Amino acid sequence: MSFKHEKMQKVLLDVCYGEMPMTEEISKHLDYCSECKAYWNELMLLRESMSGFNDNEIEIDSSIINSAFLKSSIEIKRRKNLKDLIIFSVISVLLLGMLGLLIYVGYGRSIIVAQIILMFFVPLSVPFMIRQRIMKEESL
Amino acid sequence: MSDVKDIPLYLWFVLIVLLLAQGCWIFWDASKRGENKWLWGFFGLLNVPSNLIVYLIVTRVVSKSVSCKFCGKRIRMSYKYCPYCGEKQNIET
Repeated sequence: MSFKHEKMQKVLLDVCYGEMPMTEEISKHLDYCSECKAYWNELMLLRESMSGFNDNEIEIDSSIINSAFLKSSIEIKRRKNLKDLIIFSVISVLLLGMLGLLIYVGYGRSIIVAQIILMFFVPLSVPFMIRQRIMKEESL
Repeated sequence: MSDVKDIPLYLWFVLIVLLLAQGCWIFWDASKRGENKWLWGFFGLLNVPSNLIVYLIVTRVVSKSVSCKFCGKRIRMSYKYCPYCGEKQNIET
């Protein structure tokens, strides 16, 4: 299907739904283009066959819609987390690359000392962190 | 400590890879649990393995709480069902 036909068939779909008026240009195109004419006839047939249905009779289960929204929000969140993880990995590689460079130029000893200090002092902060979280949770 | 120059280069490489892996895992886990992922992620890059242990203790001992979407009471984020109204909560992402 050429680009022109594809574009015209999108316009025909809008005309069928009443979102666009049937202009002279469109009707002229339908007169000489068999492909678009066939598509238009198909749309008309479909509209005719669907006219028997009444929208009000269809019962919409709100739980299905809610669950669809929930699933989509979870998927959006997951994709965002993945994107953030990639950004974080790139930043981390850069930071650790700098650390590697420091080791290479002779700051290995200072880095080891810093690691040992952190290893002993970070666990000491655990009770404070837990207390902070409990207080925050209780204030909510 | 005076023999720090004797440490082979591949051991430094292993340390850097471990820090990277630890930071990325903490970041991913924190984002799934609704924690401050950036803060915890960079915290995970500082030291191995004590920072991982600290992260596990802090986030597992005091699990974050959220409001139940149905009854509004505070419940733990990891709960799949509200203990007050029994309604199903969000699935973990």
